[in-house]
Amino acid sequence: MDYPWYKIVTGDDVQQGDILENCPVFVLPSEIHVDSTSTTSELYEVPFEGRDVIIMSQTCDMVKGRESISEVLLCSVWKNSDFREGLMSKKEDWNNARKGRLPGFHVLNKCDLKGFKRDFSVVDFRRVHSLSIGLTREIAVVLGKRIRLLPPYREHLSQAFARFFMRVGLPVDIPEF
Amino acid sequence: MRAMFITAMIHQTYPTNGPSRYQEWISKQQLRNKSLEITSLPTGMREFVNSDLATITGISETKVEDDFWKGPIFYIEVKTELATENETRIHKGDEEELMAFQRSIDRSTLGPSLEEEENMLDWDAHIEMPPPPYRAGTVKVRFKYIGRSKPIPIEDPWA
Repeated sequence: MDYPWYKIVTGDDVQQGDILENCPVFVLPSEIHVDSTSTTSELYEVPFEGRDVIIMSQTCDMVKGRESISEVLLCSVWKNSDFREGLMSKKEDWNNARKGRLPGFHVLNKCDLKGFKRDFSVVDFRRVHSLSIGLTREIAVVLGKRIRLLPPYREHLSQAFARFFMRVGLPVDIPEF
Repeated sequence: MRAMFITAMIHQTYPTNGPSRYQEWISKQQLRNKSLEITSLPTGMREFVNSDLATITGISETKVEDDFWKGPIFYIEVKTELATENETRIHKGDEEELMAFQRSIDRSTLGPSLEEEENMLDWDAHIEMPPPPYRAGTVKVRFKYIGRSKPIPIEDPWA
């Protein structure tokens, strides 16, 4: 039986597991002074970057016409070939992430769909972004064809994110028996 | 006479970020095991835990810089020899005994036990500097206050 990881989708229907390539993410400068009740007088330059991101918000919260969220949660996705040095530049790091030993990361399989070949990639749970659901839909439309992570791999990703997010560090641990 | 190779890779520490706790732990384990291996199996002495049939007759080590793994790899060659005069337990056959002995050394040298490995999660591992973006730029904005946001009204599923 075949359990494909991805399928190609189009349109403004966005779901959990949709990968938006080269999506603009905005990083607000820390030195901005915004008066809480007024418009800023000067123009600020806000940097943005094009990143591959994956939608983490629940699909049921983004149903068209019945949205129950206004901002979509996204996580950065890095390709295997993106890394030249540091963490994730070695095969061993990828194996550790694959085995779940690096809870801040989740490895996605490579994609062999025609015209959408992608390397192995890793979702970085420490780099989260949000965009309005309207802008997210617009970006999805502009992208045209894109790939979507399919169940059960999608739920596996979601579970890994939850596990990382709900981590609790104990100040005093129980010693080894 | 048989010879086998035990490989221990010592991770190169990151020049800027430093190794993660997990990598540091792995490196320490490998160094410790390598050290134990060399000191507990001196040339000519019988290995006393795993087999009473095999004898170590020679140990040599070679250090090779490996481009792919970006660090030194230690090859430790351990030569073993049968010592068949000691018949204190059931004989499985020379070949089988020797293989079991070699496997036991492999297991003890190549890293942490399976149990330790499974418990080792590196919660702190993170990417210090993200890979360069495909594109980058700036947008000029003037921030405009539009009031406190209100929650999205949703239907009460219990009503």
